[in-house]
This record gives sequence, C-alpha cells and structure tokens, in this order.
Amino acid sequence: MELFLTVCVTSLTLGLLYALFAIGLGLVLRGAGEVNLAHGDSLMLATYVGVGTLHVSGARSFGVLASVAAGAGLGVLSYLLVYAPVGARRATGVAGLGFLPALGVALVIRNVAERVNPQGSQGVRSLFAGGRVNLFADYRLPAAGWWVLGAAIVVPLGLAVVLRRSGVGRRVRAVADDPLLARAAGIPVTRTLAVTYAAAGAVGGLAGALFASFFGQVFVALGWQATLKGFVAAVLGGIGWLRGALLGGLALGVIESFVSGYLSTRFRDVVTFLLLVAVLLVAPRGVLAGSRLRQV
Amino acid sequence: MKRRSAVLLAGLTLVLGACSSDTSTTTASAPTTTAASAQTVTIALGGPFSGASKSTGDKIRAGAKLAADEVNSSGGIAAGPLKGATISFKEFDDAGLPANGASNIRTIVDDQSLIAFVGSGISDVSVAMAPVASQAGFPYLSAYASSPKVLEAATAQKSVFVVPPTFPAYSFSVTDVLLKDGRTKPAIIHGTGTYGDGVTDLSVSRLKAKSITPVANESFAFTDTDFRTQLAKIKSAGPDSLIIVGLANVDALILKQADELGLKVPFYDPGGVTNSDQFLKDAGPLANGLVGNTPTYAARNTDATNSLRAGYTKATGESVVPDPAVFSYEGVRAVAAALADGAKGRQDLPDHLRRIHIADTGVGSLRFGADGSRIGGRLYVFRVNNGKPEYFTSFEQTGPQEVKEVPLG
Amino acid sequence: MRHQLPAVALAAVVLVPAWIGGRRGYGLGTTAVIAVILALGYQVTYGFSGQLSVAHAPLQGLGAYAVANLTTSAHWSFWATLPVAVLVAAAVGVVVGLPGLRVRGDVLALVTLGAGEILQNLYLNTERFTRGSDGIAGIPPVSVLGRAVDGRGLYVVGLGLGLSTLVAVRALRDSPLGRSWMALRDDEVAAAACGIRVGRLRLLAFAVGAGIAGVAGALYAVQDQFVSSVSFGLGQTVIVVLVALIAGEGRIGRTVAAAIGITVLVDRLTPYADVSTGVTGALILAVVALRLGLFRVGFDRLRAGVRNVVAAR
Repeated sequence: MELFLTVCVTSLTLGLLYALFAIGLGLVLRGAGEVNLAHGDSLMLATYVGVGTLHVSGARSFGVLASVAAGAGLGVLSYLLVYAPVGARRATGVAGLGFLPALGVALVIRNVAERVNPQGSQGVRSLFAGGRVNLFADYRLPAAGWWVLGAAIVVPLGLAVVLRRSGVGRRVRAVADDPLLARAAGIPVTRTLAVTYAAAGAVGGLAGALFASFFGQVFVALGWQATLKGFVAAVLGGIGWLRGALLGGLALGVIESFVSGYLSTRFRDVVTFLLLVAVLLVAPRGVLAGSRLRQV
Repeated sequence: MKRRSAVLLAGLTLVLGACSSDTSTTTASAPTTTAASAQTVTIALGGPFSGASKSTGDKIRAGAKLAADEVNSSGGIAAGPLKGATISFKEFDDAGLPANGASNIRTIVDDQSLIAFVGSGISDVSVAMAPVASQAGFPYLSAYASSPKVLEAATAQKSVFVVPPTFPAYSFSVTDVLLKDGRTKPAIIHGTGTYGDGVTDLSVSRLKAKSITPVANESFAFTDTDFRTQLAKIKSAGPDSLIIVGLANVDALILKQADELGLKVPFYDPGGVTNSDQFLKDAGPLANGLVGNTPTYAARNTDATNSLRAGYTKATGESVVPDPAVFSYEGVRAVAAALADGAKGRQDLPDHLRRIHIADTGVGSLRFGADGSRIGGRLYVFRVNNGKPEYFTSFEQTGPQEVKEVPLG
Repeated sequence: MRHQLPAVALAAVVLVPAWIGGRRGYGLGTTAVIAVILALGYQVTYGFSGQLSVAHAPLQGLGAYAVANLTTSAHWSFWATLPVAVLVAAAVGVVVGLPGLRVRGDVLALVTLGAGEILQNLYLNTERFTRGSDGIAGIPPVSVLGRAVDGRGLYVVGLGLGLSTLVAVRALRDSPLGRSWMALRDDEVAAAACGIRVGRLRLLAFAVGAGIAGVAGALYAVQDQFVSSVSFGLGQTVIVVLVALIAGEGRIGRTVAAAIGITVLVDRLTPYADVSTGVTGALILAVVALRLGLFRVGFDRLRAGVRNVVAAR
C-alpha cells in the first residue's frame, strides 16, 4: 500500500513537471507551428541563471524571477535571431529543415551550459520557500513539490485567461490560426510570435527552477531530457493550447512511474518512446491538428 | 549558387587541411635534461584531456608528469640497458569516449617510438583499448580504470596491467564491513553499466558466500534523477541497510529521496565515490553514518607519502593528491622500475613489470600478479561523521578475487 | 560536370591519406570512406524517395553489432558476417520505415527520432547481444587471403566497399526503380496515378538505405575493433543529415565530397572538444542558412545598406 501511494505521488510530481515542460513546447508548437527542440536546453540554461542569481543575491524570489526572465529572453533571442529569418524563407520548401534550426540552437546553448558547469551537475538549495509536509506514513514531500502542484494549476489557468480575454492573447491565437490572415488584419506577426516564444520560455524557466528545487540539483543533461519528455507529453495529450500538455504530462508521469514500479526500470524509456511512435502513427493528424508540421 | 557552395566546401577543406595535422602533442617533461647523448624513452599518456571528464584527464597528466620529473631529475632510469635515459610523454586524448580510445591505441601500437601506455580515465575506455594492446603484446598500464574486465579483455598476451585495486577489492571491503556490522537484510540500489553492474554483482556474490541474499536489488540509469519508486520498493522489503552503487551526485540525490520517504537505514557505498567534496557538500548532514571507501588514505604518514604530497602540491598547488593522479604517478614509476630492472624495450617490458616491487610509492607497495592485477592494493574504509570521513579500517587485495582486512597505518 | 564530380571526389579520398601522411592518414581515410558509404545510403532513403529519417546512425549500429557479435562469439570471418550485417540492418530498416506508409515529412522525422531512441535503449539494455554499456571489444582484424591486414590494408578494403557502394547507388539512381523513387519524391499523387506502388517503394528505400548503413557499420566495427552504443547516437545521425543537406537531394558526387569534407572537419576539431557541441550546432545553423539562401539575403541587405550610406554622402 505504501509502495502504491509512493508511486502515485511520484507519478503526480513527475507528471506535473513534465506537463510544465510540455506547456512551453505546446505553446510554440500550436502558436508558431514549430517543434522547438531547443526548449529544454533553454530552460536548463535559464535554471543555471536562476541558481546563480540566488547564490549571488541570497534572495529566493530573485532567483525564480531571474530564471523566468532568462527563459523568456532566450526564447525571444532564438526566435529573432534564428527561427524568424528561417521561417521567412521556409516557403522554398527544403525537406528536412523542419526542426534542424532548433537543434542547432539547442547545441549552441548546451555548449554554453557545459562551459558554465564543466562538472555537468551542481547541487542547489531550493528556490522556493517552505519545509517538508508529511503526506502519509513517514513520506515527507519537500516544499517544492507543493509549488509544482500550485504552478501546474496557476500557470495553465493564467495562460488560458490571457489567451482568451486579453488583446495580446487574441493576437497570439489569430497568428497561430492563420499568420497571413492575421497580417492582413494588421496584426504585427513577428512581434506577436516573439511574445509566444517569450511566454513559452518563461514557463520553461519556471519549470526548470521548480525541477532544480525539487531534486536539489541542476545538470546539463536536464535540457535534452526536458525536451524529450515534454515533447512526448505534448504528443500524448494531443497538441491543444494547454489542456493537452497537462493531461499528457500526467499520463507520462503515471506510465513511467508504474512501469518502473511494477515492471522494469531498464525498459522504461523504451515503453515511453513506443508510446510516442504509436500515438504519432495512430492519430498523426488528430494530435498534431493545428500545428504547421509538414505532413506531406 | 550550387557551384558556389561546392567551391566553398573545397576551400574550407583546404584551409582546415593547412592547420596542424597531428592532434597528439609531445611534452618534454624535464627541462633539466642537458646531456645531448642521453636517450629518451617516450610513454604514450592517455586520458580524457578534453570533454566532460577533462578534470580527470588533467589529474592523470599531473601525476604522470610528477613521476617523470622525479626520475629525470635523479639522473634518469637508474640501471639496465637504458640507464640514464629520461622519460617524456606523447599525449593521446580520448575525451572519455571508448571509440576514441580504440582508435588511439591502434596508432600507439603502430608507433615504434612509444615504449608503453599509461592512463585512460574511465573503465569503458580501457576495456575498449586493452584487447588491441594485448594482441600486439604492447605494455598497457591502466591508471584509474579498475574494472576486472580490462584484464579479462586482454586475452592474447599478458601485457595489460591495472594499477588501482580492482572492483572486487572495492566491493568486498565495504561489503565485509557491512557484514561485520551485523546486517542480515541488506538491499541494493545501483546504476547500470560496466561499473554499476560490475560492483553490484560482486557484492551480491560476497553476501551469498555468507548465505545472505539482498532483500531487494533495484537498478537505475545514471541519467535518472528520480529514485523514489525504487526506494519505495526497497522500503517495502524491510531492509536493515542499503548498499548504493552510484556516483557522487547520484548518491546525494538518493540519500535525499530516501530521507523524504522515511527510509532510515545505514548506507554503504563500495564504489569509492563518496570521499569527494561534491558528495559531502551536496548530501550535507544526510551523509552522516554512511560507510564508504577510497584507495588513498589521507592520514597516511610515511616518508614516501609526504614526499609525493609535497611534490604534487608544489607542481599543482593542490593539497590533496587525487586518485587519478596517484595511479598515473604509480604507472610511470612502474615503467621506470621495469626499465631499471633490465627491460630493453616494449617487447620484454611486460615480463619485467611482473618482476618489480616498489616497497612504498607513497600510497602503498606496488607489484603485479601474473594476471596483471595489482598485489597489495589497499582500500581504506571510513564512516562519515559530522560531514567528514573518519577512517577505521582498511583492506588489502591479496589476489584477483581476494582481500584481507589489515589495520590502518 | 555531372560525371566528373564523382571522379574528382574519389580522387580526393585516394589523396587524403597521402596528404595527411602515414598510418594516421590511412585511419582517417577509412573513417572518410565509412562516412561516404553512410551518406550514400542516406541519399537512397532521403534523397531518392524523399523520406526524412532521423534513425540512420542507430541503423548503422545494427551492422556494427552484427559483425562484432559474430566475429567474437561465433568466430565468423568478416567477409561471412558482412551479408548478415546488411540483411539485419535492412530488415530493421523496414520496420523503422513502416511509419512512412502512414505519415510524411516532419512527422515521419519525429517518429524515426523516437525509433532511433528505442534502438539506442535496446543497445544499452540487451546485454546478451550488445554487452550493454561495456560494448564489444576484441573484434579481430579483417583477413584477406588468410592474412590479417593492417591500417593500410583496411583502407584498401574500405575503398573497395566504398567504390562498390558508389557504383551501386549510381546504377540504382539511373534505373527505372530510381526514377520511380524520384517521381514519388516529387509528386506522390501523380506517381500513384502512374501506377507506381507507393507503399512498397517507400519501404524499399528504407531497406536499401539501412542495408548500406549496415555496410558502413560493419566497416566501422573492424576499424575500431570495438563497438558500443554511444557511437550511433543522434549526433552521428545529424552529421549524416547535414552531409545530405549540403550535397542536395540525390546528388551523389557532391555527397561523396561533403562526407569527406565533414570527416576532415570533425577530425580537425578533435583538439577542441570543449566547444565541439556548439560548433556542431553552429554548423547546422550555417547549413540551414546556406540552403535557404539566408547568407545571400544578408549579403544583399548589407550591400544595399552600404549603398544607401554611400548615396547619402
């Protein structure tokens, strides 16, 4: 029983973290039609910025803010410097350029992080306040776990309100649905897409800070892990604006935890990727509806 | 446009071709060698001099250089046909990747100016390199890599030597302490791969010899961060102790998550990774009570130890001689001793390596068994107390699969 | 021009060892030949039939593991294992290519990316066949006429395999099959209307591409005499994709030249491992910019800007 409850808690915390990774990827996939393979590495580097800021300033809130701001900044920067010019010339239609630029950006960012932390991993103290809370038996969840739960509720709700109600949200959705029409209607497409990338990066920065605080470590390999897990979650949930990411993240957390709890830890990732392949095959158009991935 | 890109590529290739073509670099070790007639013996020095494990490579280089400086400043090789020859190195970077090591060793074996190989950081790299050296009968001294598979892979000729104690010594020293502590229901959590699986299998067999079967044996990948599922399974099995085979950062994560789950048992890590500042800092008070081991004893106090420590501090500015530096230092000392013993070149060097006996290198006595493993390698066992390792016993490797407990000192 | 380029490229492969010199030169030459074979195989899948696969290096791994296993455990000779390496890689290539019956373009790329990750995971965890992260060491050198060859001999063997592959891929391109593939690539609907059996051809392109990758893997195994999963990861695949992008879809001569160029580049960058990740990233961005004509756009803008400044004076 205790094992079952622990696996449930693990599913939930991991799943919500994956969901937060997936929200950033989903925003860009839905809003700009790109598979941003640099999302994870950006949020990883942003987390290092946050941890460094905490170290220097000693203030937790500064650390979190720095992580969020660095995430947003990296998102805007990579959009303006790479994705925008590439996107403008995409019409020439060279197959295989789909996510290659993002992969290039990811590798450049990863190299920066490798230089920042040559050891590859760094122990950190929590960027979020609070002590451990007893859940059941003698399982005590660290404070960051509750912040993960809170963020996984507040972030999607907040984003949903902004997307539905605010002017900028409407512009983001208009550009996502049809950039040409949006441009004709007088919406500044480049600036709006920059906002989309900034929002995605900011959510990433927050997710990274939560991840590092929950586990007490930040490491370079987190970047690619976050990209892969977030992407699988986004695909599992079906790429909508937000709900899909949340459901997909939770599903992935549950599947991973139960596979390693009751089957085998060695083949956990095989199961994960088999699911990815299966979902992409069974319902490619369904899950990827609305994204501008080249399907022909 | 298309033609232009082809021209561009050709130009790029030419420019790159014009850069230096040899990636390995020769470092003359002592500027003191003035006698123009004196011979030089060149040792191939290998290790991760770049990439993620660069710090290990830097230590391998520092230790080897220290040994060469000692030999060269005392008049070169002490006796034998190559009496008076000085030692220099040619470096081969493997970046910590087995494939690079495998391609390096072929170049090394073909280069007749090289007399022996010393180095390589990680076990996988040495396992990839050793068979090629063995096929050619080329003397290969693994500094730092301590998997017995390095020796097992050298099936052709007995020219491969492992300077550090091997996995059985690591595993048995801590497992024996666990048994002596009276634990009867240990559980194991370990990383997968050459190192994790290797050390774990040995610990399980050592326990089995005392009719003890671990109540749980869980594995993880070294890239994992969440071990709560495995730890929960372990907790539900009701162990009285937990053997962890991880790495410094992974061990800290496991201790933290075990604490969250309320898994309060004594921890034992046989992998020699817990005597590191990174682990002790990351784990904090949770490390207290953990039993670990290390092949270098910080409080050892012999003339040789003090001179090694002083030399290393003078050369690098660091107060502690780290393991990779110790073993590459010993590797070069062993080659120098074998040459002094009468070795004429690479062909008969392995035979002489099996005959040498250095009474005290600063770490302990150094000699090799017939299979190429070290006889008398020591592992010092400690319990963490107030964030610091407190040594209480040590184990000596007396054969490939045997250890015996010896008092500290 | 069309027929001269392959010859020029081949001359380059022959010249590389002489140019670099010595044993290291032959090693680099063999590495270049392996890269050429790998890239030629990729041109069949990607260049001829237009399917973007991101699992090419893991497929190469199958060939390498087949040779490593059979030569060390069963003591087969390299020449006996070579066909097995090709068949195993081709068979798994068909499985990896099955999604190509259903999805296209970027989605296919993502599916094959997932398939590649699965293969990598299996390499690490099926100890019986791959010895896990230990890798398989002690692969015996290639024997020709009963004698083990050295670095130069292996280079000659590799050159022979590379030339055969080049001739085969060129013949394939000019055959009716090749023309059907390219018709498929350029307009699938029209191709289907002309009676081309789309599904079968798409799978065949995967099988042939993977089979040729198997040859590259086999050669890789006997060159390093060691095989482990890290050599067949996403990084390797990306390099193959880059070669194909630089060369252009289905351009054989340029593929040879680009593969050699990248091999030499990677070799030159070995001492700078600290920045190798970033350099690879920058290279990807540069190739993308080159293919999209972004350099020219930037250049034109710069020229216009300068002209404006001059005019303002």
